[in-house]
Amino acid sequence: MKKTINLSWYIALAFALVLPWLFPNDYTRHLLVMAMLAAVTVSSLNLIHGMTGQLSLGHAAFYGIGAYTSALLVMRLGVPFWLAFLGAIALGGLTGLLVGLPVLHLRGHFFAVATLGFGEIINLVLTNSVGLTRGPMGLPGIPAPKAIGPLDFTNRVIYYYLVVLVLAIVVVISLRIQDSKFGRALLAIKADDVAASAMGINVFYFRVLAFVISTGVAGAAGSLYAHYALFISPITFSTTDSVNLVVMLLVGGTGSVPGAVTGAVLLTFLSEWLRQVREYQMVIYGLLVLGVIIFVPGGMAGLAAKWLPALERRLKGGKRGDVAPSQR
Amino acid sequence: MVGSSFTLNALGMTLILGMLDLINFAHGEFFSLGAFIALTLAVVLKLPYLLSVALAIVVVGFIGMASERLAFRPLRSAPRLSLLISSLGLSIFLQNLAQLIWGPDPRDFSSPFLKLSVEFFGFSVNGQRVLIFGLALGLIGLLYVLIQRTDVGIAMRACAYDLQTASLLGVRTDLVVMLTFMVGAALAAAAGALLGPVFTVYPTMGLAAKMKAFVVVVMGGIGNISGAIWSGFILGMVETLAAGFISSQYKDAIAFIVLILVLVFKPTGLFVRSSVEKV
Repeated sequence: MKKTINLSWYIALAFALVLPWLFPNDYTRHLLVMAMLAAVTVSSLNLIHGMTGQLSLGHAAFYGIGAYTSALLVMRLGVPFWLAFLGAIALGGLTGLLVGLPVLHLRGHFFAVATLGFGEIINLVLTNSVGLTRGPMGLPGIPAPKAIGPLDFTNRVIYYYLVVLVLAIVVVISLRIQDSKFGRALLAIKADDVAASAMGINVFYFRVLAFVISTGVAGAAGSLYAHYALFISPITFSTTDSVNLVVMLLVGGTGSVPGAVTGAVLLTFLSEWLRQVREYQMVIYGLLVLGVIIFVPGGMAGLAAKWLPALERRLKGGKRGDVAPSQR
Repeated sequence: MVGSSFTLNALGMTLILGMLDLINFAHGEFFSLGAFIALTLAVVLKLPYLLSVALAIVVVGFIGMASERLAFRPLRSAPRLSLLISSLGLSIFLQNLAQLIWGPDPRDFSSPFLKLSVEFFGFSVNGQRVLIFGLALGLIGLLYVLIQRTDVGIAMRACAYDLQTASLLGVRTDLVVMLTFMVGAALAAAAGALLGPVFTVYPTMGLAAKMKAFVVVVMGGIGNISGAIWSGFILGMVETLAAGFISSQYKDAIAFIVLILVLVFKPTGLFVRSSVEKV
């Protein structure tokens, strides 16, 4: 039995924990929080797209549902943040269930278009139910989570640690799923759903389960975002943002847990850095997507899988003809 | 009236979808480029409106061809979702390139036909809308002849049926796919250049257009030309009626609700008897 969480994850975690101290300015720390939030969301997308091959083009909407649920629970009903956070997960998952039940029968690009449609509808509802969400004006004045003893969540670094904690939990869940019977069923479905169902896998049940977990996690990320940004509006949860999440996952490597995290962090910083070139920013972004899908379809994780074994061989001084262990 | 332009736009998309099994997210950008190029030619170079529309159609046709060559041909053997993501990239690229060239602000595009009004069974109808309707019908007819009556059309249908077999039978598939993209992009450009004067022209105008096109394509059945034609008109009517009777705020949502209903209950489209997808 292989260990699910190996040493490199502990190193990554340690690195993530010291990061805010390496960059003691507010702006970089803000970006770090946003990068970690993106990592949680992209990991949630990976749970459905990476593991079952179903592409969700409405994922930002579930993120939005989490954000609004949690913010409204706290502001209108006075629910404590932690409870609202759980509420955001529950409602995210529930919406995922309601959306997933009718459309998870669909394959490939039909599912993608259906989720895109749902994403747009959810966004329109958020925009138009002015009485509840204040619509396009957005929802200002969301309180930060109450301090627990010395942990003051209005402090960026403390909040960063909170997000890293959630990310770590999500990563562990993802890795656990990958190594379980459930995960292997999902991979079988991804490879060929007809063959998988012939093997006795209940394709639909597993897809729905994966989608509900995925949208629940997206809801959690949304809640964390709302109580960090302290202001939310429907514009942040549009189809463009859903596409952005897909791009992050693609660059990191679809289907890879470390890839999802890497892609999210990398692109958060890259798009921030591209701001210097202002109007060319999105043009370059588009070219980047084209370049990655055509030349490195496996993303960063694909590259790593290709180069790491070679590097290892070189380090161990093995002969050139050695057969690399295929996958892990 | 609106339905006829939905149809034009969706026809291009369904052609490409039938051929490559690709939902082309860049299709809306062909639409908006068509509008922008026609606008530039008509307003800046002071060419007559109809000539500008024609030139825009040709130019965007070539852009469509080029984008097939650069963004989709390298992925011919990749999974279908890679093609879809590639089209997303192309869409982001083209949309922001348009924004770079023409700026983000909406522009007015005046057409001489806007001022005309035509009496029609006691209703007065705007000349531009009559023009849209007439030209759309003309182009649809032309496309029908191209596909059903010419050698190129036969090759296109063969490729849509099975790319590999067609290639084995001596069809130059690369050329045919490129031509299909040219025709598809040209149709979208025609829709954009014709609709531009009715609304305003701005870089993200393609977004709504391509969403509508998806709906029409799915309603009509993938790659089904006549299905797309009928669905275009039906969606145009449903939307107008729903906006009037239900709520205009949720007008855009109606198209998506239709989309999802069709996907759930009749994923093969409204006009086909159900079939099982081959493994």
